[in-house]
Amino acid sequence: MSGAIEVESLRKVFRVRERPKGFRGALRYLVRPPTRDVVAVDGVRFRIEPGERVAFVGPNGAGKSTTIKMLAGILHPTGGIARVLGFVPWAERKRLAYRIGTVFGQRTQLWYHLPARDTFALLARVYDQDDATHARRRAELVEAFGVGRLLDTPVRQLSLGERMRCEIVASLLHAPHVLFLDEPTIGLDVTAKAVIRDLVRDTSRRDGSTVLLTSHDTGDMERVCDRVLVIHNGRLLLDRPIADLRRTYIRRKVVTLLTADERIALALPGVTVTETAPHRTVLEVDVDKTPIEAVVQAALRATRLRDLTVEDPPMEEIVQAIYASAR
Amino acid sequence: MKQIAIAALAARHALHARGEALARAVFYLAILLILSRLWHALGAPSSYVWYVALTEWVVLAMPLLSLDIEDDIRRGDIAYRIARPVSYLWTKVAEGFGSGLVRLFLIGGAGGAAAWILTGTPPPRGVLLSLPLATLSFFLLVLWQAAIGLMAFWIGDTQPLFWIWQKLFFFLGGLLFPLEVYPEWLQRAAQFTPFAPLLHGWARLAFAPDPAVAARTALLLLGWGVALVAFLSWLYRRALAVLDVNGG
Repeated sequence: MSGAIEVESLRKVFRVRERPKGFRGALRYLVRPPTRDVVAVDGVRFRIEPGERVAFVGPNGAGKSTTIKMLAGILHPTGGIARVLGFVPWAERKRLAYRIGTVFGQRTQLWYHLPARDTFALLARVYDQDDATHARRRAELVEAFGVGRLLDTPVRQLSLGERMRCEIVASLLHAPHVLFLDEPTIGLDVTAKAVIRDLVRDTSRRDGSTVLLTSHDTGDMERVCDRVLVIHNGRLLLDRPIADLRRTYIRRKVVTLLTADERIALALPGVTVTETAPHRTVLEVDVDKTPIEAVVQAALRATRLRDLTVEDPPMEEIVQAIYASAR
Repeated sequence: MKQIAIAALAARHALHARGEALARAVFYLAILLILSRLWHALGAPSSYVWYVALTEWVVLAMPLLSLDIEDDIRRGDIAYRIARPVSYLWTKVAEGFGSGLVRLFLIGGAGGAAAWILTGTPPPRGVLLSLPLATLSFFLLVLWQAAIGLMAFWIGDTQPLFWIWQKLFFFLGGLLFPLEVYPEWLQRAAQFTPFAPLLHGWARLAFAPDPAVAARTALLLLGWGVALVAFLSWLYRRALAVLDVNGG
């Protein structure tokens, strides 16, 4: 079976105008503006199977959006090939559009003064959905996303979290096989973020739809996706299951000790004290140099422990470390 | 047709944006009051007030579509909107036309009543004859605005271009004064531009209700409409190529 998304040596070079300095430069710019080529995507290759949920992460300007725009058929690549659901996106954009959905966190497709129900009805027309199919699909999604009581409220009266739930319903109404999500939780509070992440994951599981998610919030990636693609300077740095990411890249642990003594001193290789307070010490441990059990034993020799926690560093730090390794 | 559904929803949306329609109506009534006093002072017939009521009606109901499209291009929203199974360009045209029709209806009611009160005469026969042409002309104005908005792909800020187009349109279209008050050579020159049929061509029916003039204006408007649709389609294709080169 072919993959939901197949990308081979994908490359995109933008031609950017450069404004020269000085009066002569300004005149030259008017007549024949000088240009410079910027490589946004440089030979990216990956394959995503149907039903997979993949995070596509990278710093600003890494090439994430350009790649997604090529996969949605918005941009033509300079080189390489991509297939989404068997379609070459830029050659068959309109046919592909019926089978993909897009959610862009800072952009809305809901009509501001009208209830979401009206936008949903319009989208049924846009996607050539018959009334019975539309009613059935809408009922399913309205129940799953808990937006029944919001359907007849003008969009301008909805909270950001409520609006985002309606946005995602709007993007899923035509039952897309592939869903592109770009920063779907941006600006939302912690509770709303958790709700959106769970809904996206559960809907993908139920529908068997493929998800490609870009986000700067690593929480989105951890809660929704099983696999991560890291892109930097237009090149793919990493393609791994998210669980592997922790195992491979976490060589440090954060150990918090609550002690009977006010202060303790531990002199162990690869162990640094990052925070101290009376009866509380936070350590960063390089597990390659000193295993965690050795740290705990040393602490027990030094004092009586009231409590102890061992944590991984936040996923954000892991991703930062991956970016840093590419520099 | 998808665009009809889009226009219908845009019309419903515009019905909820009452503040904007009210602001435009107040401005319209103020303009009518001032111009009716001017025409009265010059001893012009009351049908001239009806002429201005018609031209200002269409101009003040016009959507700010060029700004809207420019905004989509500047913020990069266009890149996301074109990934749908419906043309971005004709979606925007349908939205502009749908919302504009509602304003035509709302402002037209206020303006008609005001012109009646100010002139003391009911609408001349030619006013009714001009209404279908006004609607056609309004559609062409939406197309013009879409073309100006798409120019943002090349020039970034379309406001200077819009300003020049608007002033030419107001002057050569005869917004405040019928072209009959212009010098002969200017009247003739204006007839060669697309602006004269857009306003003066049909609004003059208020004081010269000639069915032959109405038919000729309708043909001119249709001709310019076909040309504009062809130009817009070509411009949109070029714009998508620019989007591809420069990124969204």
